[in-house]
Amino acid sequence: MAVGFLGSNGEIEKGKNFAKVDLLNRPLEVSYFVNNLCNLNCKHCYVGYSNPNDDLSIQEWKNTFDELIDLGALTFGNVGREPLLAWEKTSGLLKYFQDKKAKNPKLRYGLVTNATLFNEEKIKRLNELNPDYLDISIDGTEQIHDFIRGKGNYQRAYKNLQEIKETAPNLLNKIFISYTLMQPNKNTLKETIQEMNQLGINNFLISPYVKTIHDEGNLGLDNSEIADIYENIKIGNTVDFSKTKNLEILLKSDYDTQKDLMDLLVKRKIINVDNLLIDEYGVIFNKEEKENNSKIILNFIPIPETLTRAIRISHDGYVGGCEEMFHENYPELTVGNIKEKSITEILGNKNP
Amino acid sequence: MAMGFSGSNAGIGEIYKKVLYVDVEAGIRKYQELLPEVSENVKPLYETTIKNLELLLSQMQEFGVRK
Repeated sequence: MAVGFLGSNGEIEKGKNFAKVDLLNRPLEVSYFVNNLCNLNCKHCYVGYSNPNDDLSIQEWKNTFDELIDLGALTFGNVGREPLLAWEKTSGLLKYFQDKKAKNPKLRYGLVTNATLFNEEKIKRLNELNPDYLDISIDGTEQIHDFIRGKGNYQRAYKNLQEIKETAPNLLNKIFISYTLMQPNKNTLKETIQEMNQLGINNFLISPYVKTIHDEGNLGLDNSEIADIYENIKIGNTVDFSKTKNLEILLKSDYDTQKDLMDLLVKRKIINVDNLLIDEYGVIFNKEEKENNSKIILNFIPIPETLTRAIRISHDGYVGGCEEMFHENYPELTVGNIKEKSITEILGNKNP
Repeated sequence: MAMGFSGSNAGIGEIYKKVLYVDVEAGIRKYQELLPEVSENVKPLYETTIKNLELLLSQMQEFGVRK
């Protein structure tokens, strides 16, 4: 399972105008676990437990998503734990979103995967289903990635990325390399970006590891280290933008789990709060243009997101924020189960 | 993060103006009303949400955002 957050969700573009954005009190971003199984055993996994039982059916998901769309949800991310292990359900739900998007083009949908379980047929089908984004977890160069994710998994993912490049170039453009920044890989960012860029991948999402109950104490970085790394990327010390083109590097921080980091990034002027952009999905960010049409994006969401605008749904229907799902006793920590009540009732959404 | 389409240059004060003051107030009210109905385990989630919304409201006030 990749992240505590929603993932890349595509790209940010700058436009000319925007109307007032309804930022609160509706579930703008929905992330969901299509299953609670994974074929890997990563050192940093946020969900340190498995549960093969009680998965929601496709119909239960669709009913819930129908309601969420009515409530104003715009972005739907399949965040795991490993979607390709539940391919029939994953592809069925992507088809659902594809059909919904035909009627409501503002909807966005995608998934995050470790990319080790692709095959020719799945790549072809995924390309047809046309997700807005495909987040692929790569956590370093081969040696580091395999140290974190298990031996042989870098080559498995790389081979599949090559297959995507050769057979589904449109899908390749949707890929964001999702890099969870932590102690073991803090020095391999530059090489990883180079290696992936040589494959034709231009989009990178850097998310600092969030220390969790599963952490044995040696994975997380201090906020000052993260800020240093972000600053180096921003000023061009990590990536030589004169030798690459069309790179988009998203540097994340998160209000609900990393507010101190976000505050530090502002204090050190790595995030410039005097020059923020906002998109129609309510994402607030800095954008810095680099050479050769490259850009660096730093998100800045000075707003509590859990429940007020972002929700996560477990494979068995529990609704909460991302952090609640880190814990094996998440059913006790979440606000309700959609097998028992509708999502509208659970969210108490009475148009406050 | 990071989704797309239109954006516009603005400082944080301008961003806060994009958040409806009444929405934040209503959000605080909503979660305060829901709080007594939820289990003890879930209360911290609602309390954190209320605390964060109250913080947001005070920051908005600092930037001169009013109803």
